Amino acid sequence: MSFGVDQLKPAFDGIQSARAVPDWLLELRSAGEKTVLREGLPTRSLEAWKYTNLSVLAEGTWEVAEAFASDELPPRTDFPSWPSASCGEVALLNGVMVPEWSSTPARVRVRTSNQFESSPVHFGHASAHGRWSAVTGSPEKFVAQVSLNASLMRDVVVIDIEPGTILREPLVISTFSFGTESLTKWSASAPRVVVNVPAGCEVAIVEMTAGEGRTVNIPVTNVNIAKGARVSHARINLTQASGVQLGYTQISQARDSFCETYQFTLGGRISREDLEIRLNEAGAEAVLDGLYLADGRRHVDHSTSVEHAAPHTTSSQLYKGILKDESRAVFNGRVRIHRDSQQVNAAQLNNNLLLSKRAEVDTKPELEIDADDVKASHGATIGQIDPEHVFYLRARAIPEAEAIKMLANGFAQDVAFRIRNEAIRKGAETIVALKLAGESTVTDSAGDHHA
Amino acid sequence: MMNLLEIKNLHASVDGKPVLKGLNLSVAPGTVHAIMGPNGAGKSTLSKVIAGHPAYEVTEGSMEFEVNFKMKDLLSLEPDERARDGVFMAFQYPVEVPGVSNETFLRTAFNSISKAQGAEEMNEEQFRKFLQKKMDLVSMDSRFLDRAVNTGFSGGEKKRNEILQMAVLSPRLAILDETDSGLDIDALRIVADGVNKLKSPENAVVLITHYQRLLDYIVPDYVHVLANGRIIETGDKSLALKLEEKGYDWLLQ
Repeated sequence: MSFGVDQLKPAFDGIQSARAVPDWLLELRSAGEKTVLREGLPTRSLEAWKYTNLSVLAEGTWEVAEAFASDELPPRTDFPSWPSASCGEVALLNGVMVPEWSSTPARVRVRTSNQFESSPVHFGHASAHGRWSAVTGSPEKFVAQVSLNASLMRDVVVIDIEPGTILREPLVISTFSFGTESLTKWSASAPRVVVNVPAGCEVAIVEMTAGEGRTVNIPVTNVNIAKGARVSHARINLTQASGVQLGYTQISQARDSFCETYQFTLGGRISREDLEIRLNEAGAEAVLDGLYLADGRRHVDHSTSVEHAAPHTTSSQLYKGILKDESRAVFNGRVRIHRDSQQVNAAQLNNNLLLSKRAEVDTKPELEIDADDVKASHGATIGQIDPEHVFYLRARAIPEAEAIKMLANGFAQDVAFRIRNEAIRKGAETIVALKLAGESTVTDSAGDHHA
Repeated sequence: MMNLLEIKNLHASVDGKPVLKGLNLSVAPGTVHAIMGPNGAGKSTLSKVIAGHPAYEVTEGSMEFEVNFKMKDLLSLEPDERARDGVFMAFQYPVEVPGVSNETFLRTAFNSISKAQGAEEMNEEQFRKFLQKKMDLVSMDSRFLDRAVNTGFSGGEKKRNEILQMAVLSPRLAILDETDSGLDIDALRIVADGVNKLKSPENAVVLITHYQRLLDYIVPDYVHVLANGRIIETGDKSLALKLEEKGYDWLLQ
């Protein structure tokens, strides 16, 4: 019997009785369930999960997180709000879109699964090695989060942007989960979002994810970027310390497209975020940066994968983390340069700041290069705050404790500083500053803060 | 008149290795001192010991600084306390601080000093106005304020940024540790102009340099030669010209 399957079964039973969904979604769900029953929850015997122990998820039975009727919704202020300018919001609670919390901007069309008769949902782009599967993820490797998400999927939200649209202020996609406080249960939700960005667009997108209670949030997002389109994207994880997030994002890019994507993993007892970028055609460029902050006994795990599937493609990544107490971080950065993908530029850097002797980092670059005319680099650092830096600030009259705080904050804010889109940059800076100052969540000004 | 800085028989080591071996130096308000000397003589060590770098251990001697007409033991003060009392060192290799904007850094430093002196702290708007005047002194434009401290700055920009910090903090004692090294003539003029405009009868400047060229622009009252951890010769500006011409060997015999 595969690991954790007994605990998962009640959730599979629960989702059967969920509201009517189209046949194609039922088929996806049962294919997902079959895969999960076969594979189980990922264990450390899998290379991709070597440093992340999910055994806590088998301590308690899973239930599928409730789909709330509009008059039973929890207060919106229980969940984080984007603190900067935006052009609209698409909010999902427990994997289902909440129209009451959403406002769609002009030139953007938002549809849910019931608006599709047969499976018109084009999830991710095909690759040279086969089609991206809504049930198992990439053709090259099985992605546990994608099948878990498929098995517990209540709905799919498809966001289509009109060609030639400029959105300087981000469309905020909020995927919240709200669940049990019971220590013998896990509330699972599986938001599935597809964003299609056609040619001529220049758009900003922010995903805010957060969980309240003993939640397992498994958000899976596909962003398909067409020829010449430009996307600024950030994914901000503000899950409570009682919750687990197992996220997956796939971004696929056509010719001459540009995407900057930033992951801010600032919450969760365990947060695993996979980011897969496919540079499918020549001229595509991706910047993927990330910041993780962990304290207590929290565990953060980032796994990036960049597929340079065409010549003249560029990627650069910088992931930074600050670890306190007994927290633990994992960074696995895979860069694959396909055969015939010449003139590729790929850079990867992972810098960690350890503020405690008991914190731990495992960082692993994974370069697979099958072309010969390429530039690829990687590097990783794990260290403390440089005493020379502290001295510089103290020599400018700044007291030691404040100097250390400024340097740690600067180390973290460096990631937000890099964001080209101004509205996203400002929002990210605010959220990171609040986190660093010890605020646990960001809520509406009218809202309360949660411990 | 009371000296601003009084160093007597100073011995200092780094990693257990003695570098300063009985150094004496008196600096009066309103004076400019140049300290020259061969590589490894202890020039940078002297500036770091004055600023309070924790890696340098003072094993003997005293260092006093005038605060409110009283000589205060500088060695017992933390680096940030020294800075708040008016000691400033322009770094030979200014540190890059990613993620902290130059403006935030300058305002935090300025307000730390204001607070210590019991003066009102400036808000962002007031500080920006004040800063603009100081920026003009070193020909820096406001783009520098939004950038992270020294991050991605050229060598010359870093040195100008040090002088900007000096202008903002208006120290009573400024030690410039090879601020002229690696500067082209235009940048050197900007730096020297900045220093000259900040000179006053109340404050003093100590220039640590390898090159006489700087002293054409900032004219020293005293030139000292530091060798083997001690000051072995003191003269006026003509000494610098002589050193330029003859080197140090004639003094080391």
